[in-house]
Amino acid sequence: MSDSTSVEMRDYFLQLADSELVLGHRNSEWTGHAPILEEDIAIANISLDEIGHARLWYRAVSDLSGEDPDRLAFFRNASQFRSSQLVEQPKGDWAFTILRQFLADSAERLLLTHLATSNLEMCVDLAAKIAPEETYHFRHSRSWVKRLALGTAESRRRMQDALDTLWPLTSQIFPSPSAELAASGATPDSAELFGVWADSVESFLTEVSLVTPGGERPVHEARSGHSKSLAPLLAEMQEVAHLEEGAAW
Amino acid sequence: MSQWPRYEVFVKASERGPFRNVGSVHAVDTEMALQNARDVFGRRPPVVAMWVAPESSIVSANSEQVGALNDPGRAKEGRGVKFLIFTKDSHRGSMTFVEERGSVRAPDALAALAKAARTFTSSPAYTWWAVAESSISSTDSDDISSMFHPAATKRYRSPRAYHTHSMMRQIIEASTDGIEVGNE
Repeated sequence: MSDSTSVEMRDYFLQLADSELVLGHRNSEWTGHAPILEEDIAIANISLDEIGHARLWYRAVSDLSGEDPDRLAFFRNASQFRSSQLVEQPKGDWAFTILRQFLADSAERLLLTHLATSNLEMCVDLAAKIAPEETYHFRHSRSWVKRLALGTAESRRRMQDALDTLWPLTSQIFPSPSAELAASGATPDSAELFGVWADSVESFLTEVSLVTPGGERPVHEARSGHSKSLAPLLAEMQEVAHLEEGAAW
Repeated sequence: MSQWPRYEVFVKASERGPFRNVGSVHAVDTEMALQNARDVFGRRPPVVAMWVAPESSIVSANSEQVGALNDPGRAKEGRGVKFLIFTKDSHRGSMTFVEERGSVRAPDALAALAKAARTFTSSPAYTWWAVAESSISSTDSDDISSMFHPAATKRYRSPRAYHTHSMMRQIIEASTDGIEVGNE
């Protein structure tokens, strides 16, 4: 791999790793607070899976650059993170969390399908490891979106409110490879991916009587800037590691 | 406070092994019950398949009650409906309750239990369950890769992965070895 490819792949993997870590952390905030006992366990499981996936992507970064995954996760600040604003949003109510999970899961499944045919072996291997768990996450979140969207007037309203907030943020749901990276066959092109993804999501949302907010459909854009919620999230997540730098675990 | 319906959960740990009851979950329907069952009972391997059945579909009896059922006059023969029979034969295994024994055909659950008591006699059972096969919902073999297999690579979730007893023994032996241990 050339040096420039390596630098670009590092950034691509960081976009994936940081998003998984942040999403895993957000979902973990439900532990002990979910509406139903079984869902408390489910969301904790999903959260652990996401963090496990983050670890795999951080290791991919490490394979390329030699950086330590723990340092990447716990000793970078908000401006250095490459997560999407979608996953950074506070957890909100159950409808918000589940809809966000559905959007993230469906996007990830599509992305992994393409990474499985990457000409980079490391992408193919990681996609193979992660895809089965994402299949399960997707089933879970999709069935909850359907139940809440077609449930009571209150659940429908909360779902619609969640969609109104989340839909514009989907423009950054996919990581952005450089043009060269996408052209090289290492990663799919995110603009194309977004179109395919948005089509299928919109048709599902219509089936369950949810309406995407009026106006133009978002288009894929590169991640820039962060939600103001990211810095407090990192402060909490990284607190213990920062108490004693260099501690052995 | 209202409660969702309860579903009993049965887990099959290996291709050749029986389904065993491991507990129950609350859910609104069978799709959710299977997902909840996987989240609550499928985190630690090994699992190859799961069943759920609404608690209302299960008829249970202890050995005395089943004995009382064993009355030829009441146990009508005939093709009837297929019932799966589960029994608890021993007090081993704290995490499981009844285990699949087989099936019988009978016109109703009580007749099924009576017939089962005559059929499955190899060991005395403390508890008998009969469930109509049509009440049971199952995972598919397609589900294994996404629902159960990922846990198989995560043995660290099992308490047995942590050799606590031998580690404690080592620590205790080390502390009686003449190595100073503070009186704190």
